Amino acid sequence: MPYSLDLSRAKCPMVVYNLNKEMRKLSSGEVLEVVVTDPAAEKDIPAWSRTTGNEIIETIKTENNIKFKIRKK
Amino acid sequence: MAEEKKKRIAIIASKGTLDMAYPPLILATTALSMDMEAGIFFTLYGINILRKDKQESLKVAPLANPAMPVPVPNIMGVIPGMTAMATSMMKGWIKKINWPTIPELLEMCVEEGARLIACSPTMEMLDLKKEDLIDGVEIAGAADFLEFASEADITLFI
Repeated sequence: MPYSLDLSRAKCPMVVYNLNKEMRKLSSGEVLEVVVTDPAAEKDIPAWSRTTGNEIIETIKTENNIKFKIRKK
Repeated sequence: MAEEKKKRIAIIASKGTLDMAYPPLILATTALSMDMEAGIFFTLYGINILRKDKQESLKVAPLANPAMPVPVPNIMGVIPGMTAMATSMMKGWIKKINWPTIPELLEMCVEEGARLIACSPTMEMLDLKKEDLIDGVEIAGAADFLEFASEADITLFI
């Protein structure tokens, strides 16, 4: 069962804060799919990923949102 | 195996207006979410951010604040009621963009383990006791903050 988190409407700092909180529920190697609409998240989530070591394995950008698949460290 | 040393941010929050309460708290909560350590030293008017009786009623000063988008001459800021107006305007924007309130951000800081340090001379100056401040606050002085900040990767004065 894949984990998913909808952060549409959430803004900085709540995007990274809620994403990080949700990530704690996963075990190492599990994948979370997160949807964001804040334009800052396009840079913020990769920055969070590099700092925390949780790897982005897929990024899908559409007109309305961005979907990241992230594998827990 | 020795645990990797965490990155650290040390911030001084010196201002007690609603607009200036946001940057230190946003940076601290974000840093904590990025596996960093965060500490904020609240001094002078910045201590109002921690006061139980003030944290929900921080204000924006329109006077001498040319960035206010209110289309009236800046000197009008002296008129009674203008500060309340500027404040309720800002609170409206905060709500519109779905931003957390200052008490909510502080709760996040405490929950995630930020060090919230209240400056003791400021407390004495304003006749504040520990129980006047929110839970989770430490009371200390410049030396304690400097020791913490000397090990920091990022230091900011706000």
